[in-house]
Amino acid sequence: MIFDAHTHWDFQHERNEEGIRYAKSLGVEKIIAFGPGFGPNSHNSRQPNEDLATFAEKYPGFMYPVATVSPAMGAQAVEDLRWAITEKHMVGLKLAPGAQAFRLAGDDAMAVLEEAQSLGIPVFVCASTSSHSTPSSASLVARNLPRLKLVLTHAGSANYWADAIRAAKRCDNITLLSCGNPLAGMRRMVKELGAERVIFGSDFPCAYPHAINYELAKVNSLDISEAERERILCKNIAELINVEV
Amino acid sequence: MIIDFHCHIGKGIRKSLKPGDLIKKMDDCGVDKAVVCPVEEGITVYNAEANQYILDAVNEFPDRLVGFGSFNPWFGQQALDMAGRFLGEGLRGMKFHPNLQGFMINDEIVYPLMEIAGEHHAPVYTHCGTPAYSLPFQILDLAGRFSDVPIIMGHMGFNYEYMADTIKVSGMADNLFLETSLTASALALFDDFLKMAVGLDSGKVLFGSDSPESDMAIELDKLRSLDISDEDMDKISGRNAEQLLGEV
Repeated sequence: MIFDAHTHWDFQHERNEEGIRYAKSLGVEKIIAFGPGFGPNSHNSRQPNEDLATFAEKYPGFMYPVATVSPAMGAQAVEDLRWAITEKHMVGLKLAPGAQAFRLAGDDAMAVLEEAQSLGIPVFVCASTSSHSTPSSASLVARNLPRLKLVLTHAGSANYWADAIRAAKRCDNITLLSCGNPLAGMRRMVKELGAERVIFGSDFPCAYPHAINYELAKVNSLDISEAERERILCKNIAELINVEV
Repeated sequence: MIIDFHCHIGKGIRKSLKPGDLIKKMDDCGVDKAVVCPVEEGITVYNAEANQYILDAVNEFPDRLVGFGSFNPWFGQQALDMAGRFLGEGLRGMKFHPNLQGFMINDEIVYPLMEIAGEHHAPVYTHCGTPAYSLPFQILDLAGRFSDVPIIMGHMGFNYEYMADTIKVSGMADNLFLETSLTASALALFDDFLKMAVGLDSGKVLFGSDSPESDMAIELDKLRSLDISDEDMDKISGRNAEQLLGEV
């Protein structure tokens, strides 16, 4: 089974169904879905989260929606997150510090991350923008919140993937999501951390199905056992969100 | 004709590739020629040994490999002498990796090497997209000072943070080119960005794999998955590189 742990959706897009058909044709049976609600102006997070949750209801057992909130909104962001998880049954939190213009290790973010830790949900965070969020700042967060399940999307991306590996070595509660970093980076993270700390994702928006091919080719090119490949492609993310596969 | 404009050969601490293994991979992928440069510590410290390795490989496979040398500008006169010698003996261009080698790409320390590149009509390939050493506007600054030297911006900006600016500056200087390897962002963004680049000037885009950092077959598939015209695909896959190297 392939469980794609990183997809983005604009639920108004006319090619959504086509994208889902394509993903399924490649063997993708489940996906983590992020919505379009990023950017510094996304201070109203209830509506986008509700829209995404409603969109995901059309694909039960296939699409698992992940909420986002804007940490700069302080207590409102914490409340919005709790609402999205408890009322709308979303399965995690997605943060994009660069796009949302906040510092991952800042006080505003800490309040939201503490709530995520209490809720027991994984936090998918981009940690590759120099001034807002790096693997080093993520490891500080992970050490301060040792029960927080932190997933570094893009695993540090192009410039920070080696640092992401170091952060994951320091902190057991950090997992690396492999899309958007070089193949050499993925090879090293699997070699140094083990397959149980690496998650497959495509960063696949509906209009660009070939993204899945590219990221799948990376995983399939790894010289690992089939059991290890299964962990990367499916089991690790399923365990993080408590879904049986 | 398919030309891979960015490969590394040699033995490094973390990655290695022998010329014969690269040739086999090229055969498997249908790649006719590859531009090869040193790897890791060959780029930073052991320039003489690494460049000799490149030259030997080019002499062994003259119809398949085109050699670029690395000359760390911190070696001063030694780097200049080495650049003149290797470019005279058969290497065709220079490869800079500013964040590995420890300088900003538009630092004055680079100028004497750029002058030698100009004298030898040698293109210069530089890694692009890592702060604070090799950002697109720094490269534009260098390109403006050495307008007779073709400069290839590696990885088209490397990361989504810098890809838009890299493409933008490629349209601001005739001597700037883009190379497609890694582009470690979502493929959707690569698709967007490449179309942006092609829209500006498809004659400026060069296919590269960055083997063995990435996989040649995967990088070729990435390029071929894009919805661009056959004419543009042909130019990016090899014709642009052929033209650029033919001018050497």
